[in-house]
Amino acid sequence: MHSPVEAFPGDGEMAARMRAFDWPASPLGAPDTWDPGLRSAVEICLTSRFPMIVWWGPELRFFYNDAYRSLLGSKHPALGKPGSEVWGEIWHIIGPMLEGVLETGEATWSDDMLLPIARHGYREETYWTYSYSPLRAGDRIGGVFTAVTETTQRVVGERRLAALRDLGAQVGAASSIAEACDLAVAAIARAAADVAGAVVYLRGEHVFPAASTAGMGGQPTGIAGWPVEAVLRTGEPLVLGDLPERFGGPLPGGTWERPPTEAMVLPLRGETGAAPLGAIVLAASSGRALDQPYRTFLALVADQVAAALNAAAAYESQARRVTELAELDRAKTAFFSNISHEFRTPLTLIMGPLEEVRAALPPATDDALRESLDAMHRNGLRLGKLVNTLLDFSRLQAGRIEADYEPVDLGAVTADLASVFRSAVESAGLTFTVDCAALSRPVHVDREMWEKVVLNLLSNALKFTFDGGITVAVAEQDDRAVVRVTDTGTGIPADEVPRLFERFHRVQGTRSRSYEGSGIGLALVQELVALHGGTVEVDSRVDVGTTFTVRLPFGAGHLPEEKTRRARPEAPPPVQGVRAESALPYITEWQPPEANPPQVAGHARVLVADDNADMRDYLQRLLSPHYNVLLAGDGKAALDLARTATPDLIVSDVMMPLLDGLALVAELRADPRTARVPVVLLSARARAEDSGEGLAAGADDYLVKPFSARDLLDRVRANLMLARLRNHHADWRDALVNSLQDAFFVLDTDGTLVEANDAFGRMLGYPVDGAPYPMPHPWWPEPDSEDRPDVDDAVRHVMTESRGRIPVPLRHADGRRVWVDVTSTWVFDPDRQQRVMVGTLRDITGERLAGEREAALARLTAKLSEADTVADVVAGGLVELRAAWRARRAVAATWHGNDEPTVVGTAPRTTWDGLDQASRGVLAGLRLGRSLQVVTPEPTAAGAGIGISLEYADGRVAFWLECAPERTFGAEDRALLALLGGYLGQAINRAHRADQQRAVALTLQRSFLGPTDLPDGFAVRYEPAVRPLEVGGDWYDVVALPDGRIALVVGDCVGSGLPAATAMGQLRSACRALLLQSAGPAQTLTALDRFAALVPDAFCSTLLCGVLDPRDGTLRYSSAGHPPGIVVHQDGTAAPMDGARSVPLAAAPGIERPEATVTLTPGALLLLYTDGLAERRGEAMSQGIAAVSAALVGHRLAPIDPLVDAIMEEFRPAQGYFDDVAVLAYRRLGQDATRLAHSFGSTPAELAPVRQALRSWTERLGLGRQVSSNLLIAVGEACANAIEHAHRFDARRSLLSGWCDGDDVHVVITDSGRWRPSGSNPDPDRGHGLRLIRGLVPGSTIDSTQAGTTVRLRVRIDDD
Amino acid sequence: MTDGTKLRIRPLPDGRPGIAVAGEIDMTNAEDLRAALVTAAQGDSVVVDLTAVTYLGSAGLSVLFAFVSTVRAELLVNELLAPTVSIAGLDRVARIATV
Repeated sequence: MHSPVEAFPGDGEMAARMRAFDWPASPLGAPDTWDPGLRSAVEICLTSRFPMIVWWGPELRFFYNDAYRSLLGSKHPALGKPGSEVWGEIWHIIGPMLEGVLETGEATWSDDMLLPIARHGYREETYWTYSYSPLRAGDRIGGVFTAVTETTQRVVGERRLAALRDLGAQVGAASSIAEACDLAVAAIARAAADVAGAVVYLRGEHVFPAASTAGMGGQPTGIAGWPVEAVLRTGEPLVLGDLPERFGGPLPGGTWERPPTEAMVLPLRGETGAAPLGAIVLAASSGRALDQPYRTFLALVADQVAAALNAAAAYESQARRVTELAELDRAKTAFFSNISHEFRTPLTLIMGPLEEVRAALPPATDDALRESLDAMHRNGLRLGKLVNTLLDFSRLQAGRIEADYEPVDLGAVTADLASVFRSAVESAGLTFTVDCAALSRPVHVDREMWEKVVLNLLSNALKFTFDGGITVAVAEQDDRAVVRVTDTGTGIPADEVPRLFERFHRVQGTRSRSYEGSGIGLALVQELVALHGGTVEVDSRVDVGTTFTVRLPFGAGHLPEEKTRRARPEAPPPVQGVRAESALPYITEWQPPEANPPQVAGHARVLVADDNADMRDYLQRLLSPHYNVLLAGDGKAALDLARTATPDLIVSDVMMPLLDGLALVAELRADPRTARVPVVLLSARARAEDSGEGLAAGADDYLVKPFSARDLLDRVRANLMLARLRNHHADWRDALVNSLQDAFFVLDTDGTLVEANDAFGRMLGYPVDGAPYPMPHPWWPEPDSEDRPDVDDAVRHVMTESRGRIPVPLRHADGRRVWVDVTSTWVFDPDRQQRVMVGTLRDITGERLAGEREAALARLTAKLSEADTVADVVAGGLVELRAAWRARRAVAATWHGNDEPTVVGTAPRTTWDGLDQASRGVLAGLRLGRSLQVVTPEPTAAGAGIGISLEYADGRVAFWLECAPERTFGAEDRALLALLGGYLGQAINRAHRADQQRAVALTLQRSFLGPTDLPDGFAVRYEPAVRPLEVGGDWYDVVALPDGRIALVVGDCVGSGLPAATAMGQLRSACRALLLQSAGPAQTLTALDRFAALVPDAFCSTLLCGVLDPRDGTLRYSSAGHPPGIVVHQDGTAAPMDGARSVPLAAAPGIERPEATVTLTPGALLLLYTDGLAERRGEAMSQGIAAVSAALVGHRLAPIDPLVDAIMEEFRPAQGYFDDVAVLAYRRLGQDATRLAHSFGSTPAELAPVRQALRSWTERLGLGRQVSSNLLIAVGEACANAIEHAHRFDARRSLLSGWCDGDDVHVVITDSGRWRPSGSNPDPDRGHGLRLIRGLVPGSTIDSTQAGTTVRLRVRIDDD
Repeated sequence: MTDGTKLRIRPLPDGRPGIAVAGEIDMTNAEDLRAALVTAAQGDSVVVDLTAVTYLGSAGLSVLFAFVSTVRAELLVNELLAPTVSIAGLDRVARIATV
């Protein structure tokens, strides 16, 4: 006979219910009549902490234990009910299985079995791992025994992770937004178990068309019904829980048995941080409640879709730009074609009548009239040639040119064409060699095209050749006809060669006879030669000459047959006169000016500078009746002329070779001798900003071609009068002493500078009348300067070599660095009767800087490749920019939204508020300007500077570099900063994307981490490593076991990023499941060894696993290669948990895992952590652990949350943790004979329990009544204060600790609030409080810091 | 909370004006004490019997200070609370009898 207590042992709820149940009234009968098999099964079930069920009898009546309760949900209590009643909704699945066990006696095993149960009011998607084992009743099967684990979280979690991975793989795969939508929606459709349906709305102009749908069968695809506009307006996601009501019926979608009822509408965030791209509707599966983890998952889905759309949008805009550029190019060609046609009609009507007039001139016509008509004729031909070239070119581009190829003797034809240039070449003082041998075979050419090829090449050669000669050669080589045009001209810089044949491109900075030209001739040559199946190449060396080589194939096989023909029976003989005429347009204008006409006394002197001979003649004819006219053919000649014979006025063309009009004005203005000569500029460029540019350069007047003769004469007269008035008093003042333009100097044999000119003084900033300057010269860099060795080398070189040239870095008197090219020659000075060194200096600072900045670009690129966060890029970029400009100060400000910017500077701890007003103003201005615009504000006394700002996805970054006030910034500075800025911008956007990915990984990791809702006494922290994507595999877990014990886990998976996070998630789930099955720590680790061997990336994870009984403080634990935990008792003794240590997971399969026990006394602290906390570079791990242990002793009396924060703060390196860190801390609360630990929250209701705890402890101690009462009131006051103060900050808990030390009794109260000093306290209650504490417990102390307040009380046990 | 700590306020057994207070007085129940004192303050002199009070913190003391500043009262306290009353200075503004 069993008493109920014996039959149903245990003090759990289910044992109590079993005992209370009216069994005799049930079909099962009284327990003492039960089969012994049932009785023992029920006993096992009730005493187990693992969820278990016993099904008994033909109806499979239901028994279960406490651990199973929570799995039943609202079905509890279900004791004694038939199984089919309890689990009706899944009976069609489990019923046959159970019956099978009853019939056959064979056990079953089901792994992750899907059971759609209804325990929370809806049909839920759940997964279970369970076994059905037969229970014997005599010789038959009486029932079934079941052990069960719910695996829903793991199965669903893994599935969602896979869905996110699949979606992530779509980012960057699409070339249009539509395609990106399709890909994303297809990926979502593959995840239909977790996302029942999706609709993507893209922001249109007024409507939001449903771009794609999945799973919803196209049902509600319009905007109607979904709160899309609200989401787009607020940018915040919305959760909808009423889908059927909202749409008046079920929506299709999902894989679950019922249609979805809940959904989220989320914004698709735009890359630029501005408006969202659109919104996405994600319907939740009705199989799972839309709880917080589910919402986090859907938010991650939306983020991934947005990332895919943003990538596609970026791709689309790139593609659009390319198309636009091609269209622009085509339009330009069409425009030139049209305009050229339009020119031809008026040109014909000018040239025709002109011919008639010239032919009709009587022989006795005045020479001047004849010259004017000739000039008109020449220039008309020239205009016609330009128009024809443009037209040819447009035709070529459009593929419409008509060719007519005929076999010719290429040598003869070419020689004939070349001969037209002979007189022009020879009159320019050059030799002209024509070496055209007859070739063995004819070559097919279109005569007109070939003429253009040869004449263009010759025209080009003549334009750039000043000495030597031009050679035309035709020969045969490698089975090709080869035509070479060689000159001894200025040559083409190597970096210009690749662009030489580009249309409209003109070689910059090369000396030529004429500035004029369209930049189209060589492009045309290349096109024409290509039509002939030939090639044209150029070989050029600066200051040596240029050779153009045309190679044409023989025969006609390479040409279209319908356009070739046989040789003309009678080749038209070249008519020299006509030929000469046709060559005229190529050779007109570059005759050098003839000797200047005789001067007329009393006339003002006017210098005319123009490279066009006809224009020069015209101006001379206009001006010579009134003025003495001087002529110059280019800007350089004009400048030389102006310096030797200062004119009263200069009329100059703007576009001229060697030195253009603007540069001429600048040179004139810079020289005191010519600074006041008025200048009238002439230009064909009619845009308003061109004339502005001319006047800004210092010109006095600006005339646009074509101009009238009257207008020119008026302006010249007016400017002469103005200048006379202006210069009248100043003429004598500036006697010109500086005849030399270059800096020059003389050194004696000791190296002492004995003489120098003004230019030298200007260049280095030292007065030349300060000579002699002995060595070391004051313009040498300081002896410890990095430049000094260069100077010492140069001095040795200059003093020992008889002549030479060497670049040297010197110091201007104002401190800036000046690079000069020193040219030196030793000569004998007859005056001094000794050798002296004569040298000149040329300032090459600009060139040197340019070279250094090239290197800066390379350094910047290298530096940015290492930076992964936006902040790193900004900081790294700033350092390089500062170095590139040798800026004395550099600041960067980063704005997100409208907040105060984050500031980094070259000075440590730069802040926005700490910046001076001027810098703040410049940075704020940069922020408002265009992205990538370079700004150089007017220099102030404080300094000059250059800045740029960049737009990136999350805001703006502005960079500001400040240099010395005398530093000037030129076009090259702006170009370089814009270039470097472009690189920086790309790097910032790249880093921004990395930041975002990191956030995704971190969210994922946090969703894997242990519970945030922890039992009292626990605190946990996780912090990722500083480097992006360095989310690691660290985790913690706290699992409340059914019997009241608590499992603690801290682990660390090898590696970082998503793989480690994934492995961690799996290990954590497995570990949790094992611990819930009542496995001890060692047993858990042994099972995990086997598990980890199967999971990629879990191998060699370290893990510390413990099971704590909070009632008696015993902690059983086992460590798999993990850093030891630390226990600190209330009295400050520390004990490392160094027992039970073994190898990391799966490192030694089959190894037996040890287990150890440590006891936590009341108030004792336990700290488990991962190696990131204790590891320091260059330090042994044991040192780090000792330091953590010491810090823990120091903080041991603090409440648990502030304590963990203090530890994390104390061990965080300045730059952040190098490795991720997980920390789990626990304080055992409660009391024993000598120790007390009681934690309390910030409500007055907690005061009574505090007094209760203290009172019972002092009674245990046997403390006298009076001293107990005094202590009680003092502690009550301290706690009341703690509650009031903590209240103002947060809901953190405070701590009461007590312990004995010999006869002393210590009581300490710690909180995280800050007490006001008692003197300034307006509240009389608190005044009483402090007085009472001090009065009742003499010698008590109160320490209040930022972190919190500590009250220490001490009484003696024998006090009374 | 056991009976020994809960705040209980009753009229004086001998019918004189005043109240007898027992249990613990802290910030959670000091206002109850204030209300009881105000109700009891009918005559010229009131007796407040605090001999059964087991805890008296600054919240309770403040109520008593406010009360004795307007009403003539005699306070009866037990010897365990005597140091508290004296440190707070209540004995300087009211008649205190230690029992």
